[in-house]
Amino acid sequence: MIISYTVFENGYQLGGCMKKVISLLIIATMVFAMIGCGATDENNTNNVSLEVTDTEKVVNIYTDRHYDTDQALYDTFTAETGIQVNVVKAKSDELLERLKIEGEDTEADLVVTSDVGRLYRAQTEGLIKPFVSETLKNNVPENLRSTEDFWTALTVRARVIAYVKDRVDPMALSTYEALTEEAWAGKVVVRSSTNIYNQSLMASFIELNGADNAKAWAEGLVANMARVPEGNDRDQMKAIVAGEGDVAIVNTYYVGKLLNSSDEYEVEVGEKIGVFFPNQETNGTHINISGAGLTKHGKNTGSATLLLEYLTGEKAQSDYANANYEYPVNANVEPSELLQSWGTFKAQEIDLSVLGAFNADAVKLLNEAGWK
Amino acid sequence: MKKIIKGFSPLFITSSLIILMILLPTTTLIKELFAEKGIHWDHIQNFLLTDYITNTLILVVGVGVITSIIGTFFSFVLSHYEFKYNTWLFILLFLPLAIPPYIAGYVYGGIFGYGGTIEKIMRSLDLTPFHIDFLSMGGAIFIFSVFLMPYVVLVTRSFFTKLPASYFESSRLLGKTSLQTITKVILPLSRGAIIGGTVLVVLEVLNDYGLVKYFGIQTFSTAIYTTWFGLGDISSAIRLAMILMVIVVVILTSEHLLRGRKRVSQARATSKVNEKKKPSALIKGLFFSTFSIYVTVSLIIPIAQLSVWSKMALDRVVLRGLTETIVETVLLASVVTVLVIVCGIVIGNFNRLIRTKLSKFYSRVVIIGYSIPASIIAVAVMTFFINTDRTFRPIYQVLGLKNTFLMGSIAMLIFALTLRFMAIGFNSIESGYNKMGIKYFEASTLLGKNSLQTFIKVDLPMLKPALVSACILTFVDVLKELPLTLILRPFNFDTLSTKVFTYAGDEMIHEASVYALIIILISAVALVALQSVLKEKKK
Repeated sequence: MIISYTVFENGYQLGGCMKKVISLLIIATMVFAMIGCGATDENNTNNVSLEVTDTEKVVNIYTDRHYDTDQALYDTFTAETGIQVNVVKAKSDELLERLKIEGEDTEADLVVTSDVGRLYRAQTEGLIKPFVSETLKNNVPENLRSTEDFWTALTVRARVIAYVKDRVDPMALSTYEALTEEAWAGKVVVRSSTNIYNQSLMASFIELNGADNAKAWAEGLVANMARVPEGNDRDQMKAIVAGEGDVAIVNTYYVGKLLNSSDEYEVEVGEKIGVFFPNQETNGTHINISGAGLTKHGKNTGSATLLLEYLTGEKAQSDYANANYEYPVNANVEPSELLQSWGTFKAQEIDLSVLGAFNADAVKLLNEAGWK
Repeated sequence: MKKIIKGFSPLFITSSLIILMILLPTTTLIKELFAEKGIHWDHIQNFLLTDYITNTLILVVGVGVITSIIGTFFSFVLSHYEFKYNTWLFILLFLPLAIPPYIAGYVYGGIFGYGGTIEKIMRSLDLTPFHIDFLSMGGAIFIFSVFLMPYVVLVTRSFFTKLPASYFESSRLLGKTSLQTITKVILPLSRGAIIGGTVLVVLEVLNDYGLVKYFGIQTFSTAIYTTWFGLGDISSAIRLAMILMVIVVVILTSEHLLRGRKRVSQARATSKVNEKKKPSALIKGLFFSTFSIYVTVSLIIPIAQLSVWSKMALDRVVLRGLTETIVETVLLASVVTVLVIVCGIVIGNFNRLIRTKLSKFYSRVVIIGYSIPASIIAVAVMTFFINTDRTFRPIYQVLGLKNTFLMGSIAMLIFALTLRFMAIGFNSIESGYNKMGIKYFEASTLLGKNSLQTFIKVDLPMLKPALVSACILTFVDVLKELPLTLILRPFNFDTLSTKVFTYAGDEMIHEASVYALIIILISAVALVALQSVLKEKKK
């Protein structure tokens, strides 16, 4: 304020001379600004080549996983390896946009998302590059990583049918498709289609059953909904326990979160909820992952790969997955007791990449089906 | 007089620079308006727009009408009548601003939801619990109205404070009753201030995504984000945002044009400030009943609920680095506040002294940062900064700076927040300038004071209430700001608001409430501190 007014003041009295100086200033600013706006990636071609060595002992992460456990694991990793871990936590789509805008100038080495669709998008937009690590391949089963090694899962979650134990006989449940039948009219609750988990579920149906059948399923489900979608996954389970419906489509870890909530009522709800893995006789239960990929222009690829190996390793996996009631990706690590109590299940046998490939189609079909 | 100020005056140049800094990043976005339609455009038009626009209109009109009426009522009564603790009453009215609407949404969702507080109370009284579906349009209008109303109170207060006594005297002499004076004289005069405050509320509603998503209400911003996140079509998303911005700017400009020459300032040589009156029993009753209802729903209930939740979850929340986070948050908010105020004063003054089409244009441009959804602004700012970095790379190399000196730096975040909240500071300052007019300035210059002296001795004291409002609004807004801070922040940088999101974003509202309470606490301290600036002056 003072500065601008001093300028005002001097210019006022000095008249012409000051005016010229200021005019020059403004022209200079405009020129710089024009260049600033017009500059393109081509400007970088004549740059000094970037160092691709890991001398700095640092990994920079863009992550959509916000759990405190993640930070604790990073700290342990730093203690064990001396590699510093820096983090920006935000939502996947915005992180990918930041990565895209930064292009080859990005400082990020690793991008972590809470959904495979985003990793697929990162891959198609050329934001991530394949990893080279036998350890990683040994840690993570083939179906949970990209066929071309672009990304790997870190944890697994299943989207299941939650039911109220004292009102619904699990024998009456069978498939996602069966929820569109007459018997479930007005009894299904599920959150909004703006949610990524529902979009991925829909994408898997497009892959397995074709777009027309998937849309028919969505329409059938909308017709059977007990209410217009609202709230999050926890709210869906609270609603069925309170009698607003009988079954809800939710992610497994939210059941775990209810059971371990600091709110007594939520624990009570969790105890009344049964978990049913649908489509066991047919094409399997829908799963999604949280996962990670190395950024294409990352400068600390070696350290980032080490971190991935650490996170998928036996030592970290039980903490990593269990803290959020998710399934570990490492086959040598047992799921938590709670998850074991629900039993094992057959997952959809599809290339997880299709969840990303069909995401836009899924969103459109969901809109057309009137799933709010 | 005018001759000296016109032309290439330094004031013009500083204002132009500020406007340039707003416009440059947004050019990337404006280009999208004229770009080719994305492949998803037809789908968006057919399935997303009609319903969503209807919902948006209901929401905006509902919230706009409620906040402008109640906000103006509170603000006028407190400025016009003498109560025992006016300042404290004001502070209580502002404080709800510190609670982000999406958190308030979780709070009320939790109170009215299954197994919520109401149900627990009913059960403990052996009553059959009833269920209100709070996550609905009505609930959303309620939340937005309650938690955004302080914008209207703050912006109009700077207008209502110290109104000249002549308005009331003349009106009374001409045979108008007090009520008529208010409806026929004061309200029309304060139209600009009321609209200025309501516009902030409406823009906040238009750009909200967190609350409407949780409530399952599809609005225009749902269309924008579904297009971006769901369809992966950021180009169409920006286009939607820009259409929204154009509509907003057109509406605001036409409102301004309609007001046209009806500008009235209080500048009279004999102007004496209207003394606060003793309220009648009726006014007192009306005021205190509405006031207590408002404070109950906007402060007592949410704070109580957040405290209960905090207590439940305290042992699970990681409070490591809390002091650092608080210091960083407060520093960030302070820097942005100062910048916003400086820019607001410069543009406001330019707009007051030079009444040309250009100055009017400038005063409309200021609102741009607030009329585009934050995530879209973030994209524009990042593009701008990375391009600047690339342009200056040769210089960086000479100086030994890293390639991305600005991109991802704290400077980028500060720039973006300033751009975003410029409208907030400006709207308060503008309403202050509107009331003040130009006559004092002219008189002071004629008496031989230069503009700096005039500013410090004449403008500043009169502008003080407006500046304090602007400071409060900006400071608290930065404290609770989420989308920009989340995506633009440097590595390992946290604010209280991003901490809230760390938990709330993952359906862990109990854990989130610990940090939400700290935001409220800091806001309260800031409010009291800023209010005391005003008070000292009175003595």
